[in-house]
Amino acid sequence: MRSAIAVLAVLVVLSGFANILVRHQHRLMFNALQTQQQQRDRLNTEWQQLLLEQSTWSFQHFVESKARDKLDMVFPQSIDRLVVEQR
Amino acid sequence: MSARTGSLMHRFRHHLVLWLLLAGFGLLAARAAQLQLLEHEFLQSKGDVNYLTVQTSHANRGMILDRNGEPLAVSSAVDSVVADPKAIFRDGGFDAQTGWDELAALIDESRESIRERIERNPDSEFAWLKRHLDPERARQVAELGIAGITLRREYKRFYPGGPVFGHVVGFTDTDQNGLGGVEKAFDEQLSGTPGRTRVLRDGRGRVIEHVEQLAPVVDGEDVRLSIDARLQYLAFRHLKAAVKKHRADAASVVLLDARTGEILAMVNEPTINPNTRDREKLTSSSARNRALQSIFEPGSTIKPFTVAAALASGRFGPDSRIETSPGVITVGGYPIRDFKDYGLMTVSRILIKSSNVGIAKVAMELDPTTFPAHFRDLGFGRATGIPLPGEESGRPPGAGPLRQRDQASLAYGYGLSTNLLQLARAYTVLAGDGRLLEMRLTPGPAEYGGRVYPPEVVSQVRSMLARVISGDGTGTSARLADYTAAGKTGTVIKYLVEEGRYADDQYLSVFAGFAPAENPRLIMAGVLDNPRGEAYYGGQVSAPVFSRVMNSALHLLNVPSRPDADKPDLLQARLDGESDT
Repeated sequence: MRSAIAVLAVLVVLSGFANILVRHQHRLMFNALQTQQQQRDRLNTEWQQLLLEQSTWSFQHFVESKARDKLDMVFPQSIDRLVVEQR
Repeated sequence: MSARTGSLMHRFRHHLVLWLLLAGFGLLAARAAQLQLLEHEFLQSKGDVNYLTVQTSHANRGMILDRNGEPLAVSSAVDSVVADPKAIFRDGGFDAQTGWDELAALIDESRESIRERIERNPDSEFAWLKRHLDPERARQVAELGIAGITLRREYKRFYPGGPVFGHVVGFTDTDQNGLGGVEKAFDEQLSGTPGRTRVLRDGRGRVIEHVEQLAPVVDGEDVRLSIDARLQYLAFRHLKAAVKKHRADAASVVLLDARTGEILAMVNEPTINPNTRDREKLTSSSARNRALQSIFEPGSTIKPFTVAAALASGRFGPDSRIETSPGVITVGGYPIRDFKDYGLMTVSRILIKSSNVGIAKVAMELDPTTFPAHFRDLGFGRATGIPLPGEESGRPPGAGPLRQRDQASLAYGYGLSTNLLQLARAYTVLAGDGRLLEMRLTPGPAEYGGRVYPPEVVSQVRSMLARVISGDGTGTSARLADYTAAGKTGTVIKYLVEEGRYADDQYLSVFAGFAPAENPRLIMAGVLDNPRGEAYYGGQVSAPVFSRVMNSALHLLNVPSRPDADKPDLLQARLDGESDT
């Protein structure tokens, strides 16, 4: 009887320490999760901005005016084109 | 001091200490009992308010994409700069802080206006200094480290295509609720649901533990449209140029895939720029998606359907002859006039030259009940049902039997009204095999309505429509540089709704057609409202828009251009010429 109580007392103390350990780990992992979530949000934001930047640069109006005015490109007229038929 | 008195003293002290200790314990127990038993609920709720809160997390609004995945509407994070005047005054007031000049430069405001905003309401804990700052600058603001100045994360909708997609894509309010176009029509799908988590905060308000998840974050879904951004831009550019050239009040163009009924482009002029968020403009008449919300009488663009009905009735063939001299007839007391006296004409020629007299005479031979009824089969009077808000579906012709006069005017497109997309939808019957194609705003397979004409009638009408453009018809300026095309022009006298009469000198210039003529890929319909230049005929005003947009669009879609026998030689000659020099 007495030894059983002693064992239980030791177990109570051990589980107490285990609880402390688990709480601590939970805290660490939660911090890590938050860091990851912040990073995800930051990357998402960056991606959205890059997407917007890309679509602004590649917008037809922009490309067309660059091609016409800066690069002196013209749309080939039908006389400039040769249709090759595949056999 | 004797031993006796000493022991008495000892006993007294012993009891005193004992009773004092007991009283102390008693007090503690009583207080504990008071807190636990009597004030438990009040204290618990107080503690929870401080430390246990529900945190909502933002759900990203989905993107709107064109058919090739080009973004048309994207939400992006922005930061707003917020001041806490109370905290600033607690720390000694505005002038006790440094960094205001740097802040002023970063947010494009003057130092004094910042001061004014902070000092206006010294007891409040919240004042906007700048909404929607880009994150890079916001980071620099945070680095200034001014006490009482914080950032608040917000989300803003960006529209890379701006005014080109204005009416189709629509716009949102500052809280990203869809207010127009696809943003409104697909709002539920786009918006998603914010997540809710019960969290534990520490004394400084930082989240230290997720207690439970009440609802997970569900980001909004992307919406992919059938619109092709390249074709949309093409149509926009040419339409804008035409409106300017002809000084028209307004104009619209729709471009369809002839094989699936998908809407590839839908543009209007004037348009709106959803990026500007100019409230007034977004609710003005410019905000009307005219292609869907303006109805008009389609005029001569209806004639192909009258001819098709005549051919399908079996009473007429393409070469049946009709006398149109002297270029005017009177039906029910009203004169119907031609541009000039065309004399004896075949049914084909009537369509090619767009003779009102001829088409009226043909129509008066048709059944006065089934002829008007067949326009309902062509979709007139029935909304296209695409998910954009505010569609006006127009008025179908009256139920028969029609009077001769109404039958005659219906033959050339008066007595029914339509929006531009409905007109384009009716042309799917002629561009296809005689069945009506339903309109789609999202990519997907063809969805057919009922059959309207037999296939052989369709191919006869189609070859007539090709000659409207390639021969000596009214639509020669719709001719494409590199492809065959078929279509019909229309010049409609504008009906002034408010005055309840037809205008004396205001017209709508209409065109509807498809290309390539032998195997249609694209259908296009366009209307210019009240062109005020010298030219107002459909053939002069809207047909050239068709020509330019259609030709470039077919090239973009890699449709092989028509083989031209003498072209290789020409090119060879040019190449030879260049190599000589």
